[in-house]
Amino acid sequence: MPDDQGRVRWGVISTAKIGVEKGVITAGDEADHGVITAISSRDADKAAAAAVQLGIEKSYGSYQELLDDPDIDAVYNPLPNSLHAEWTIKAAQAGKHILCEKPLAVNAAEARTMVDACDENGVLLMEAFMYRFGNRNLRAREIVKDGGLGQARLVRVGFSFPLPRNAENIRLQQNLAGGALADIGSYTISIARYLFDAEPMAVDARLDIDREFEVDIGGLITLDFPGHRRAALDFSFAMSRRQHYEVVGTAATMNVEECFLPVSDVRTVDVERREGTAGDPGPEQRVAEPFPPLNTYTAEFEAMSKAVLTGAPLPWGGEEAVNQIRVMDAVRESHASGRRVGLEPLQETD
Amino acid sequence: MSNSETVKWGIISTANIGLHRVIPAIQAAADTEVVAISSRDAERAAAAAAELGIPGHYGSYEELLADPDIQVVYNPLPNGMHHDWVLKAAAAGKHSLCEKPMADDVTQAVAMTEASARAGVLLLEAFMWRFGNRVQRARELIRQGDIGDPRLVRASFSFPLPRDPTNVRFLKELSGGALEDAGGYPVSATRFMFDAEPESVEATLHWDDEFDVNIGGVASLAYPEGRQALVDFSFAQERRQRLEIVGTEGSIDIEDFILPATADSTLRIARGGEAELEIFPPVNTYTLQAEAMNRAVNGGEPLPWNGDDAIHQVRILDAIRESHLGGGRVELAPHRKVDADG
Repeated sequence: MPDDQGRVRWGVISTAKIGVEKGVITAGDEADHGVITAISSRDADKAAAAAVQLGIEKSYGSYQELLDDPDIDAVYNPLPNSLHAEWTIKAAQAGKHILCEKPLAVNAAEARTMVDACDENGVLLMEAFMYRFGNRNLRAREIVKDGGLGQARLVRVGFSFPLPRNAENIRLQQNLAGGALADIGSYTISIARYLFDAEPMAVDARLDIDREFEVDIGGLITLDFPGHRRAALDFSFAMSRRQHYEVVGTAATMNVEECFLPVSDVRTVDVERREGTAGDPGPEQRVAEPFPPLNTYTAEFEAMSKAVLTGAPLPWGGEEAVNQIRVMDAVRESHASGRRVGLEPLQETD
Repeated sequence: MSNSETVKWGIISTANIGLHRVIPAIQAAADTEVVAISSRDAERAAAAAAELGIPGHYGSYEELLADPDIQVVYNPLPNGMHHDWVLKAAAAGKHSLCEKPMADDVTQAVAMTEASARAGVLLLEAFMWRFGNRVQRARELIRQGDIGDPRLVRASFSFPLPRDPTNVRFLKELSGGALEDAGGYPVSATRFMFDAEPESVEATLHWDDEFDVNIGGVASLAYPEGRQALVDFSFAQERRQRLEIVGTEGSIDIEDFILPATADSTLRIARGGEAELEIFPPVNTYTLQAEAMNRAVNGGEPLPWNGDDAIHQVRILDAIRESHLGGGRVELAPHRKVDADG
């Protein structure tokens, strides 16, 4: 049911900042095989204004009206975290494919109901971790897989920025499932799983709970992966701005800066190795591989659009999101109990 | 006593770290004379003395401790022997500069500190990196508020150690292991930069089944006021010595922070999207450590760290082992100073 140019027709539910102001909708519209054709809001005037601002053909004064539009193939869902499940399931029931902002769900059980609803209705579901489509991240993952670092043993990830302490910000609202773990800690977990291409066996975590807002505003997580691989993750709404990761192998170390959000300039993947001894490590030999800027939001809309058009499987679908959310559940459990939380190995699925 | 009187040192054991790194650096310190070295093997002691230009040598540690000229003992014995020989040195009225980790557990560390205090001698755990110009500068920047409120310290020390089963660092019976050998540095870095003691620890270790010791691990430490630290260490990873301090308004990065620099080195400070590098000349931190000991021996200036500091360091290593085995968070009692100054 694509449009006359062979493009998937996308509808957007909500006029959330990430879509309207941060460029995700515009980026999505630039996908070769996708076009944004409608936007909706509970406030019809807001929807109409956003449609005019972004050059979108149609606007609706309710999410359900958009879902009822037969000329829409896929839905982008950037609603507050606590509303992801309700509207993803309704979209699935309306036969729409869904690209849902992260975190997909407030817990793994909820994520499972969303995946089941999508499976029952024969639609695709993807959690919108756009960083996975970044050229540097794909390259870094390939370097790890190909043994370019020897055996990769440790992933360290840091994601922090100073978020203004505004009580109106949904990221600081507990009743909308806000918090730093949901907002940015999720990236650090996701990229550790992505780089190792594995699931953790155990989680130790501690969250920094803000007394005023009663949400977490940061935390530390360590993940144990099979084969003596570990990840050490930090994230915070109350620290200086950083987004980077380091992968340490038996033979070399790799560093990537500005790894999560799209970048607008040439950036590198740095692989470093040293030939000396422990006591005298010798000079660092660094290979910095450059990559052009790439809009990863466009890349995720394109990947999903192509999957819709061809029926090819998504590289990261609903099951991947359930696996991600169960680690987030374990983080909250470890924080609350002070215990290491074990995770069962995944069942083989067909 | 004059503040520049020559201080006489004796060395117990011909361990590699001493022969190749620390002893020449002690000899280079002002107001210092290394007067004797000892080994359980008299010929090795004689050979080491000849090689390093040390006038005296002994075929046993006891003989060295009985030498009335010696004021300070440098103890680079295998970890599992630190306790006994610091106690014997204290009983002989000698100050001890003891390699890290000072003790196998906190009980030993308390006993060593109390014995030194009773004997009126100094005891310093040899975390020489703390005397480095860059890390001292980093601490000053933090204190001045240049990065706002410090919230996170990340510290790493890893290197690939050849899997030689005769290396003491792999020997369980001599208290080997990566936590004990490499892990102590990043742990001490978090304490040094926050100038505080952690309240709780979570850790997992990489256990080597062949050698039955840990060869790496990751630990997270919670400090007062919501400050946090992440440390990692390994005998089975590429060479890294990294230190990062992240504040509310900026961050500081130091590469190769542990071993003495042999060329100019940098400290990177980032604030408000701008980063600048401060450049430092090389300093031999082993020499600075020996000079700090000499000043304290001569009564000129107290040691910046003493046995009490080592007790707090060692109890964190205990908590890391406990967290690994127990599978969860280990709470540490509030910092309590053991009155143990010499």
